[in-house]
Amino acid sequence: MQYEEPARKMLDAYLQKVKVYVSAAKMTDPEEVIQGVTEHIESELADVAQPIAAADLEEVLTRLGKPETWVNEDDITWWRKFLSRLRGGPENWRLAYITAGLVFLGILVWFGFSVFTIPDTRDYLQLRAPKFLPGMTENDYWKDLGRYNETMRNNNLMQYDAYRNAAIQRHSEYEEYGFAFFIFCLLMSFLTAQASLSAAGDSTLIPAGQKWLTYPSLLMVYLPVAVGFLIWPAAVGGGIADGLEHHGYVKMFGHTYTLFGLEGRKYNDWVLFILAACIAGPIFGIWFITLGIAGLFRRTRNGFAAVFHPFLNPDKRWISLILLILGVVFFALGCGLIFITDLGMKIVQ
Amino acid sequence: MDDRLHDNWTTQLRKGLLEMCILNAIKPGRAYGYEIVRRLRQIEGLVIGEGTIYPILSRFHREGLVETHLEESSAGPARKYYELTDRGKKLLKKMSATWETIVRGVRNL
Repeated sequence: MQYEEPARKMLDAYLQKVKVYVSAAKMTDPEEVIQGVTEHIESELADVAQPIAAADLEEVLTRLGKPETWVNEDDITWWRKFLSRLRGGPENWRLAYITAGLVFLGILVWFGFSVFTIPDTRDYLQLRAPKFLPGMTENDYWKDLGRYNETMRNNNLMQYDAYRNAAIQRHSEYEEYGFAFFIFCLLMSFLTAQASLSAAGDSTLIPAGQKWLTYPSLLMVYLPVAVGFLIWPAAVGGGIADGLEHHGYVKMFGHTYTLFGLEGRKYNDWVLFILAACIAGPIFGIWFITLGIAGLFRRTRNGFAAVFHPFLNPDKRWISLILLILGVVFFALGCGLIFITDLGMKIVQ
Repeated sequence: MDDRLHDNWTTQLRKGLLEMCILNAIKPGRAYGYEIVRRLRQIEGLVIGEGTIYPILSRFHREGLVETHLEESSAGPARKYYELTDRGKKLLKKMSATWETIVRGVRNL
């Protein structure tokens, strides 16, 4: 059968796609499928004038459908599924694999310091950085070993210490590189994970496999952010209490010290803790009440739900209610604590 | 929401039925791929992408449900004909019985 050039190219590309997707199926012979599809196309175009135009061919290919939808997910081996998705999409899966790959690479480089160091029992050599990172080559390793042997032979301990300290410093620098690289990979993977979930569309229909590939990256970013977002008042309380201790105000809490039965314990530590709780309690309360009210009475899509997508469901207002109740409890406890301490007594007087 | 549920349900139903319908389309005697597609076209809404049939035929061949042989065609190149094996016939019989039971059950609800 004769085809016009654009039609020929279209047909080749289509059959190539058929081969890629059908090859992924467990019990299917790609050549047999291509033969069947070719026969089908030729039968459909038997009455069309040759050379076949691209428009005529396109009509037939549209009826045949997209090859990526021909094979059931269950019929595809996991590694073929992986390769085929990485090569030809769909985009949500391709991005999910990239996400997992970036996280894996970041962790590998970060922890690679201990895993990939050249084994050696001597103290000095244990501190070497791994070979595959910048700045440390096989040559460096042998140079270091030569220096070590030389210093030991000459019994020059000062020189040995200098080399040892240099090795410690270099090792810690490499560790910093590794961690920075991990953070970079994590942030990149966070972006690809979000893109992957967006490409999947409806968040209730995200396949479990895609969740396993993308959620670790999202959680590694969200958890520290969420914890910081919720417990910053504790840090503020601790900081202010520390400042008060620095200026000697903690000594004024003798009544509190006896009130809580803390005799015999380290005065400053315990009073500082109670003071921090007094300050942090009301701040926690006001913060949680604000979050709760904002969540309960919002009229548009919740900003927090958008930031923490897909883990925070914007429709679940009970989370806001819990925050509001917790806020009231924290506020009451914090204020109550203030009023039974020396501070409260001074206010009442 | 309802459209999505309906689409999912239709896709699952179609997937399950397609294999039985392909075996049924070959049942009267040997048939080549395009001929099977034309027979299935008569069932409205069953086949969305006609190409779906070819990987299934290839799998049936590997699983020993159908056997194939090439024959010269006056209309063009040689055609691959599919024919049910004894195993394929037995499976189709079981599938049809299950289908009948389900349809009867659903109608009696």
